[in-house]
Amino acid sequence: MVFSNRVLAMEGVVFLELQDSECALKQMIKVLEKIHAGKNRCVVVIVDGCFSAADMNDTQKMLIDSIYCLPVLTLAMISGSCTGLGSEISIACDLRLIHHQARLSLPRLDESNDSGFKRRLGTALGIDGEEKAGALLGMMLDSEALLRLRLVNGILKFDDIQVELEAFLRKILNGKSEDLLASIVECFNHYKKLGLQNNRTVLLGVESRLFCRLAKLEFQKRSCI
Amino acid sequence: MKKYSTIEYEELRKVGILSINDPPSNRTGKIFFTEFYDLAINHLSLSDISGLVITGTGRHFSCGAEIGELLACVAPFTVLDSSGETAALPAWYVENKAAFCMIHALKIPVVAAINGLCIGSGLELALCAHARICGKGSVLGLPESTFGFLPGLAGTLRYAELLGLAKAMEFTLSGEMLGVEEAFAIGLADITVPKAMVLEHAVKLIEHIAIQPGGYKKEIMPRYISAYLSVCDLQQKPTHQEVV
Repeated sequence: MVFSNRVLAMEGVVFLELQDSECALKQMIKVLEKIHAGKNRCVVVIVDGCFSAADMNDTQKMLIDSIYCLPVLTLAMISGSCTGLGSEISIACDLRLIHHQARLSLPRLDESNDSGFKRRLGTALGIDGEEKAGALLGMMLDSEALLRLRLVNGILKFDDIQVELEAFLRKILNGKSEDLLASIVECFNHYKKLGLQNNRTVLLGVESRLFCRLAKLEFQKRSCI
Repeated sequence: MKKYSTIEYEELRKVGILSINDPPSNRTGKIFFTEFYDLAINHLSLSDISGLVITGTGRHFSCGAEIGELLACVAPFTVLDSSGETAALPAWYVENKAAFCMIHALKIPVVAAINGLCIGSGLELALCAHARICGKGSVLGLPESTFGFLPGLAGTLRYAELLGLAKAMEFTLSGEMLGVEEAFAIGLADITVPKAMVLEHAVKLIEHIAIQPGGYKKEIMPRYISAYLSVCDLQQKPTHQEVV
């Protein structure tokens, strides 16, 4: 176990550990239902080890959807090599950090057993991601390859990965208001939901709406000071 | 050709060269946006140039907008509804964003020639280009989140398209500034060259694309860049293209 039991002392950061039992997954869905923007700043999902590569059942699909659409920032902490559900959950998160020895096995899928993974992977990869995603399915990728593909935000190289995780979280969360965090997550959730291939006008409209709202709030705040 | 106070525009061998011209920092203030809109809508969209280079006069591409001025132009004219959501956008902002998006939608190659600082709305303009050539020592970033708001001129979407969602979200959240090496490694910069050669390579890349058969398609810009690098004997390979 790479991850120690020391509790990371950051306000508004929730830790969930992915476990491969139906009961644990249902509990995780319940916890996610109670997580709301504002009160919680980030959900860290710890993915450690192999998970069955079999077809996704309804509970697993529901968990993936809950994470993908969560109005709170999600970060997959990939501390062990994973397949199946582990890979699906990792790609469903907004951000990903990986231990240098961990690997991610992308499922080999066809139309009959793809519950949206290929589309999610394609969107995660960027504008030309759809084509790339098809080529990557079925591949086992190490941390360096994942970083080159920009599928992970960073590689954690030391034994005490909690220190590195904490530094990363501070970099992205410190000094950010609840409104700002929620707006950035909402903006990117639209990109995830609608994809980057089409709907450009709609996506630009989302950014405009959120930018103007935040600019107004910031202007009001500065006027008060 | 109309004269502008914050923009210089000239045509060189059918390549348009647009320089943000308010040195030393080349701020994108209210006057710049008004002039840029006029140039983009009334001239560039109707021009017969074979490509467009966007650059900055002097040491820097652009340090972006002055925050106080930007907020004063946007906030009073934004209408929020009773639930606090945006009900109406300022016309000035909508026009400026349309001008930026029009540059991205041009059917001719648009190349940003970047030196020095390329920050905030300056980088958003560079992201509207189809390729970015950066001089050594350039610094790129969207620091808006550190001032309490989002990039609003297509920066978040262009980040997502170019860098993938995870890196785009990380840099939008952190507002981190990237040196040219990191910008190149993640795909934000397409070519890095010595400072003095940035503009020359931007014009040459456009001229290289102009002689390719089949007409210009911005979707295959990475292929034009690879071919151009081979012709120039510049050995560069973005690491993000190595896996697939």
